[in-house]
Amino acid sequence: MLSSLLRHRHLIRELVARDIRSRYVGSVAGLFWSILNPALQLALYTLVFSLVLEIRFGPEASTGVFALNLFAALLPWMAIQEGVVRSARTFIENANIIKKQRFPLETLPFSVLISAFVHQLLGTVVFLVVLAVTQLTDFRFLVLIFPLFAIQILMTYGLAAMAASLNVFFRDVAQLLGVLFMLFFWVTPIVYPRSRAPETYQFLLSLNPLTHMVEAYRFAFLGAPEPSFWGLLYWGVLSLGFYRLGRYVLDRTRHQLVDLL
Amino acid sequence: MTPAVRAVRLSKFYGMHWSPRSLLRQILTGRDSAQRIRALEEVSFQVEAGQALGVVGQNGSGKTTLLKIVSGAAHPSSGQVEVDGSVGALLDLGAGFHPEFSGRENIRFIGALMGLEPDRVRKAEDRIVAFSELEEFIDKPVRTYSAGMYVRLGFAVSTGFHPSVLVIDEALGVGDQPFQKKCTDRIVAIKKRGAAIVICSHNLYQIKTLCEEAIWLREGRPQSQGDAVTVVEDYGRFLGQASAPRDGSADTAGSGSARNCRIASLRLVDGSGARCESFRTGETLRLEIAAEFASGFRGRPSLRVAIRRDDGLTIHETRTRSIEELQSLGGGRYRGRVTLRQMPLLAGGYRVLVAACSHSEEPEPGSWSAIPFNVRSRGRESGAVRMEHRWSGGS
Repeated sequence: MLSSLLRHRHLIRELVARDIRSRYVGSVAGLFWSILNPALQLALYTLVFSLVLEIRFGPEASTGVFALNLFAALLPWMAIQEGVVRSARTFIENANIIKKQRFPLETLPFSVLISAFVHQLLGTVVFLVVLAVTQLTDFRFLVLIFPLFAIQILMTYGLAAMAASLNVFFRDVAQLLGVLFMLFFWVTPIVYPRSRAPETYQFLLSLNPLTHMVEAYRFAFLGAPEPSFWGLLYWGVLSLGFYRLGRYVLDRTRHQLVDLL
Repeated sequence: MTPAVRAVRLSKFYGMHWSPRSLLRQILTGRDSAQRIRALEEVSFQVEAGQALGVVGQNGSGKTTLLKIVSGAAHPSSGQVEVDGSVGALLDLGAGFHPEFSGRENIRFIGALMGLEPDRVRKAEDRIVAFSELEEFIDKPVRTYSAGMYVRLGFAVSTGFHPSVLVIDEALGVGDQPFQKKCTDRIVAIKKRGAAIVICSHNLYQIKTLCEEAIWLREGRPQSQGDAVTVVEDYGRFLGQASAPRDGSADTAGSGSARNCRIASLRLVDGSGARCESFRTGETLRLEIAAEFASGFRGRPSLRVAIRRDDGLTIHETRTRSIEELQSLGGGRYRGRVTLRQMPLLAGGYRVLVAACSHSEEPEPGSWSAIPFNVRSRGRESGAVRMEHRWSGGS
């Protein structure tokens, strides 16, 4: 499947460009909206959790540190959520193109997640500027974000391919995803440090692969605390599993789902 | 030499009473659902590079399903299809355009979809735009296009990237006359350049002239297959018979020659003598017939001509009264001509049917040859034919 994606790279580039453009075609403020949404989330969560509920990352850490920790976790989270949720509808939305010629289906969820990833990269650039200005980190572990990106894309692709295929058969999938992502937003230590969770829930949190992803991103951007090696391995292996599963589901269903579109 | 398209025993079934759940269970467990519709059964063929295969058959006979499978847009339930090289497909009027994007963006997209390098797409772009004659509109969103513009772009794109296999479904009956001509010419040119073509059309004349071979599909199965002229004539006779009012006998295809007479050629032309399949009410329509009466033929040679609407209604039927009305070419060959100077038919699809027989007998049901044609008309009248009339108020 990777070779198929490589072979269709021009198509994927067109699809990504089309996706990003279509989001801004006909809107006055354009890019502004895709900045406003995460910026507002960042501000509101910081306000509520840091200022009102007084959650801190580290014993002496400030509200600024909270915001940075939140930012580091929110970037990959939003890209995954957007990539998977929008993929669920991508075959249905593109039925018109799919049914008119030979179409490599795998390029559709992939281009949706890449389009979300492009926004994540833009956010990362903003984030790095903020980090450079505040001088709270020395960027020693920054190079780690590249393998993290790779694993994140692998996982998102598996989930996106699965969501896209199954949603043709059960339109409930898109609904279910909304619920699941809300659940996982709160059982992943995004707006709180993992250490704040009660002892009884620690084990559950460590079962959630996204916990390890979030901690790894925080480590790469902010330097501390160090994530567990086994946790990262667990996330990596699960991501590979999701990728294989998504690929399997798409391959098994691809012939029939075209007939249903 | 390997053929450009090789289809082996293609079948396609659609589940009939599926629910999403049962279908998914079937896919994952491999168990078959009970009720299925057969869209295509055991169709095999080969098309060499530089050759064309015509697919004919009535609506719902599986033509579109077959073309979809050849183009890769659908997958066969069983059997396999091998295609050598890139496929240009025009399965519908627009080749899968995105309405919000401009014509140019859609051209680039289809190019990328066909797996072409961006610089090759750029090179083909100007040619495609020029062919579509849409220079002024090419940077406007395709949703603003008229149906005719849409078709022109669709045809230009699907043929514009020099595909090695071209799959066209009924695309040629659209657009105005000059553009139709242009499309036909381009298909011929693409074929000469070495592309394999699979085309389905209700225009039997086109299939006969363009294709070397043809398949006549009936309820998903190949009813007849082989040399295009033979297949198309079989099919044409079948169509003539299917709606013949005196239809009562069994299929006796070829019985016309059993009586030693047949229609050798049939042309529908306009007032200027150019071949035409689409007329306007009030225009001149002329039918040019060549018939052969072999030496074993008994009786006085006669020709019958009927015009029928798509639904089988006979609008008009006529016959030669004497041999003087035919021009003898010697050797039992005759030429006949029927001219409708102010053709009164109103908008719709029609067929003209011609049969050769002896003066005193009726033609065999299977011996009718047919040509379909369209009539377009303007104005407030509807029905089958225009009648001279006048509106007036009161006394």
